[in-house]
Amino acid sequence: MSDSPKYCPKTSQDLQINAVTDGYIVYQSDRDRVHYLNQTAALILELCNGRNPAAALPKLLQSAFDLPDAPVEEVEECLRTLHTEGLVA
Amino acid sequence: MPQNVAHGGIGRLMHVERIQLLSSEFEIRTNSLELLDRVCCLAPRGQHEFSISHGCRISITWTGEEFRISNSDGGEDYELSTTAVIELLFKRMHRLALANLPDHIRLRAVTGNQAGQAFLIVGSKCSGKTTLALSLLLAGYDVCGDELALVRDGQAVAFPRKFLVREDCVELLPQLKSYQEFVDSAAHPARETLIAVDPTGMGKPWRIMPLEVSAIFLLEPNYGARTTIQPCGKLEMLKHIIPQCTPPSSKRANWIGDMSSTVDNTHTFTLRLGELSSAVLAMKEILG
Repeated sequence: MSDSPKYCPKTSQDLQINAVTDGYIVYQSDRDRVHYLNQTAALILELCNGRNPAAALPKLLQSAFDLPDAPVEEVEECLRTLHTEGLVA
Repeated sequence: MPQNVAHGGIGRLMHVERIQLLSSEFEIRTNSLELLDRVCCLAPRGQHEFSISHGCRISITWTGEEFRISNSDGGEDYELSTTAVIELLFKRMHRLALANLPDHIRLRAVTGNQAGQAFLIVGSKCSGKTTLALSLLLAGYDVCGDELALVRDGQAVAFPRKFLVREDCVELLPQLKSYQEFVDSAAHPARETLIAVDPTGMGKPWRIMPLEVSAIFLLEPNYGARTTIQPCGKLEMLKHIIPQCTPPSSKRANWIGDMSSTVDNTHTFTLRLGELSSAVLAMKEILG
């Protein structure tokens, strides 16, 4: 995962993403793994479209959930996890 | 040597029984009446509302020294005892019946029918699913499976198999003592002994049919306390269900999406199972 301010994370290819009421079930065929994403992680995954800089995601989440502060650390941790699991590149 | 080998010689397979397991019908032919009688005792006798699309003839011949079991589509095995050949027969039938439904997801669950819809009870091994299933059956609910449900496109059907109940269940459900299967065990029930229970043998209906899933209960033990039922999130339910699934043998794409959609479109609950009578009352509040 890049630290560059221009880094725009992008969801990996070949994921089966299934939406349910309170999150996403994501099947990763190349690793034969199933991931369970809550609504916050699901939104972050959606925002990883290759066009949103990683640095912009906390503000986007703040707006989406009407939060008093941008959840910077939480978003960074989530992005690290998504990257480690191979869900975003 | 088995008794009642067909008159006229060991070769004639004159004893015939038909057994339906979902979309498969098996014609069992044998020259041993004793064997067939035991097969009939063990065969599930649920009323199927499921079209038959596959037929298979299985021949079991007592040669005088061993049992030879063979399918109409090939495959021959040999066993020395009646018990062993019956075990092999049922394993073979189950394997073929499941293979003939290659798009279905297999889920370890109790299946019940209520008001034209299915409810499922999922939980880990020894969590109390079968005991709860029996409680519901005794309370008048239409419970059709205690072990395996087949799920596809939002519908579930129980795999027709007699409920395998631990003999010491009579200590939790004393009403069972009045049923023939439990009469001998009432005095000294043993935990390690399993009894095969057929709902029809208990005077209950046993209908095998695919129905829309309307409710799923996730069972968690809470023994000795009162049973509680709380709504369960879909993600939480799927975290428990998906590891309990066997994917379709057809390897169809996105079976996980099928299961996710099924769960998302049903009412989902966590059932902390305590004392059984409170469990039945709690489920009655939900199921009606």
